Amino acid sequence: MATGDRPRPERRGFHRRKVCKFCTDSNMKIEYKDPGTLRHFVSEKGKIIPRRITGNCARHQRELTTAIKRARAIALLPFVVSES
Amino acid sequence: MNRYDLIFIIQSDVPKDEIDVIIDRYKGIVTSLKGTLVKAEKWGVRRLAYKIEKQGRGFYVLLDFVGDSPVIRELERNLKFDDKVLRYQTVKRADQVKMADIEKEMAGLKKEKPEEIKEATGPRQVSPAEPVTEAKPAEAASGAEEGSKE
Repeated sequence: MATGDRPRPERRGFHRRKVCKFCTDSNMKIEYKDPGTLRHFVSEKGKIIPRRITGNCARHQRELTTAIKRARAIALLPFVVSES
Repeated sequence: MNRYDLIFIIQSDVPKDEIDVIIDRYKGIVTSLKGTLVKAEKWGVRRLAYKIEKQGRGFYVLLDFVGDSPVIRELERNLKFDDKVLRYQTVKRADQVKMADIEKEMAGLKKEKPEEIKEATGPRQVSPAEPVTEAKPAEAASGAEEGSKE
């Protein structure tokens, strides 16, 4: 009964294993001076995309956040993108 | 001796020759305090991601140098009072670098200098894998939301 109330929703589709892009691609570097790469890890609003979504490993996510914050400080990346 | 990156943004309406004067002054501060300049890059006028002092554009300059903390102190003291500098940021790249390594790197830099400038000023090269990486976060985002509802 406890488990019979509602059937567990089946997993739809397939589970895609996310891997850290910086681990797989060795010539991709985390560099605060390169806003082009950092843009991929920032939402349209300018927020840092969490690790759970991008699949980055802890180490690279950590490096990435400091890089993004440095880039923000010198106006290479926005702090916020407001709707206009 | 540590290795530092100093980026500063000069107002975009400053004439070219004046920009060179400003850059030379800061280069002079580095060398006068026993620092070694590894490279200086002019990124040119770029759009700022947000307005600084009501300005939407700025001239970016990067100084890459080796030195001790007095160099930073003196540079930042001067940058702070410079009205033409919108923003500056120093980042320590490496601790206790060996001068031999730096000299080796500088020798290497001189050879491939034209390449270096191109890379710094031109737009980033677009790799074929890029569209895929761009699409993925959004896709993954919707997937994660579904997952959290479970």
